Amino acid sequence: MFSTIQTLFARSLHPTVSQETLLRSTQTLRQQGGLSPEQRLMIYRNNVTTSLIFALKDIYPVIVQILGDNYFSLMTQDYVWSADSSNPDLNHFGRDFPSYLEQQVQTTPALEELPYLPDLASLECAWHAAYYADDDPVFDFDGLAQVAQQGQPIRLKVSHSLCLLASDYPVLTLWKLHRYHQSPDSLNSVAQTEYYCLYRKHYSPMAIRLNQTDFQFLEACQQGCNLDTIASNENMAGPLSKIPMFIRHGLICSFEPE
Amino acid sequence: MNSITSPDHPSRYGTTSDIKGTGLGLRGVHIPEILAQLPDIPWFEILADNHRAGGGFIPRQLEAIRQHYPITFHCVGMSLASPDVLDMTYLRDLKRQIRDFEPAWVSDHLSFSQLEGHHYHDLLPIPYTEESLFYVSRRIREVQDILEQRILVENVSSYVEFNESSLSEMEFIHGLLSEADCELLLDINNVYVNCQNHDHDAATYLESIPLTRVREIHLAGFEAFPDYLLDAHNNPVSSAVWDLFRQFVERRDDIPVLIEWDNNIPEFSRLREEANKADRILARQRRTQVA
Ligand SMILES: [Fe+2]
Repeated sequence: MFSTIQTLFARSLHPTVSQETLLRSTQTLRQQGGLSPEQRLMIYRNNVTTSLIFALKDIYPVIVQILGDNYFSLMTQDYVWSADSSNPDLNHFGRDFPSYLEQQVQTTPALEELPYLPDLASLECAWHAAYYADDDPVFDFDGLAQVAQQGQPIRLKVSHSLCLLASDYPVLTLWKLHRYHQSPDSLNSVAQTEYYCLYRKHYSPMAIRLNQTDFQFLEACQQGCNLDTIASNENMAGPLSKIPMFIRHGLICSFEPE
Repeated sequence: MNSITSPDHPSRYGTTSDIKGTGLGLRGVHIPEILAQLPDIPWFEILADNHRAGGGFIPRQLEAIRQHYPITFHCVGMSLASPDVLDMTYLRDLKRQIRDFEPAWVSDHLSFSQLEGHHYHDLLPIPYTEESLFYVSRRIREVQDILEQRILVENVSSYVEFNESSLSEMEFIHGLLSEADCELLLDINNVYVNCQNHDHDAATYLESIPLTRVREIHLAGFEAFPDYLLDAHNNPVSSAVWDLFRQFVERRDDIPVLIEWDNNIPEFSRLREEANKADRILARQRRTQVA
């Protein structure tokens, strides 16, 4: 049956396929020319692997620079088949790569010296996602004034493109150095955790450092906390006074009454 | 169902001219040069899947291209032959893209790229049987109903043939054109690659093509390996494929042609040379006819 044959075919492309499925799949294929059915299947497997690795290299150019093209290709050969592939949009592929890298760093002796790689990958992933994110609405100041007059509690909504990152390594500095092809002198962890946000301003992704309370404030907004709840935390006085600036920079793009 | 020619409602892009002559597949690296110089290219084919972003630079850039050129959409994600249910999110997004950019037509491939929810991002082959013909035709009709227009379906290159196949690829395509009421995007490079890979005669294959249903021609370059040809779109069109193209235009010389080059993308000027070559072949054919 048609769909059974296709299912066998597609499953046998996965490197983890059982010998039995692979055999059943090759039995559906014509024996022809100088290649065995299995070799013919491997052309497809290789095509898929190659194009997915190619897509990953596009998202993670700095990780490729650090690991080298060959090592990156080798390391991601299995990942591309285990990664989330539920989205037809190739721009969404590889969003779980930072967590894969985290496991790799913990289990691969060759990567022990590079503990900052997962955070750096998260930064690259956020940069890529910001570039492709939906546009934000123009902030409705009149609407906000109206709601404020009625004393209704509101939630502030952060930009579609916003991603908040915290790292114990100076990954933003490191990333910039690699983008501009300079080698950093030292890659020691920083004394205190560094906080960043990535978002898109007009057409360009931006990465900026934040202090911890601004980070926590934006995180609370992103999680959907209402402004009254946030304001009840006395540490939030600083970020609350910066709301106009967050709006001006496009980090906060709209609000909704609760 | 709407006609696949230019929309007859007023267009935000002024008059949408018909797609004629040899167009080029639009690739991101060339866009700044194209927008700066506005070269005399009759039309561009857009890989709609690469322009799905709803915001940011990508749609603005495409808008700018669209201001100056007629376009068509080429897709890889409809998964027309997949046993999975149709991806309505994908099709709704595509419909939004069609509304926003008004392509003259939309095409995808005679293949599947999704199965059991997994996207392979590749054009996977199917057995050609009465059963699959019935199934794929129905699915294409559903897609056409959703998109409210006929689509073009492209013959793909393949590296396997199935024991189960009871129809040849061309018999299958004939069946599809009549059952699904779609149009054909004939990729002559894919014809050549398949005939080499599966030991068929490309000239005979081309002769059996239903001429009146071909709406667009693709020309691309393959990569030759010792035991097979890979449809890699990373090379100039091969001389064998140019020969087949010449053979085809003897029978019809009025079908729009498109040059595809997706990997190891050359300078834009190199792409134009390929298009010029296709145009010269078409012009020679027309002169011969007049003579
Ligand atoms: Fe093609």
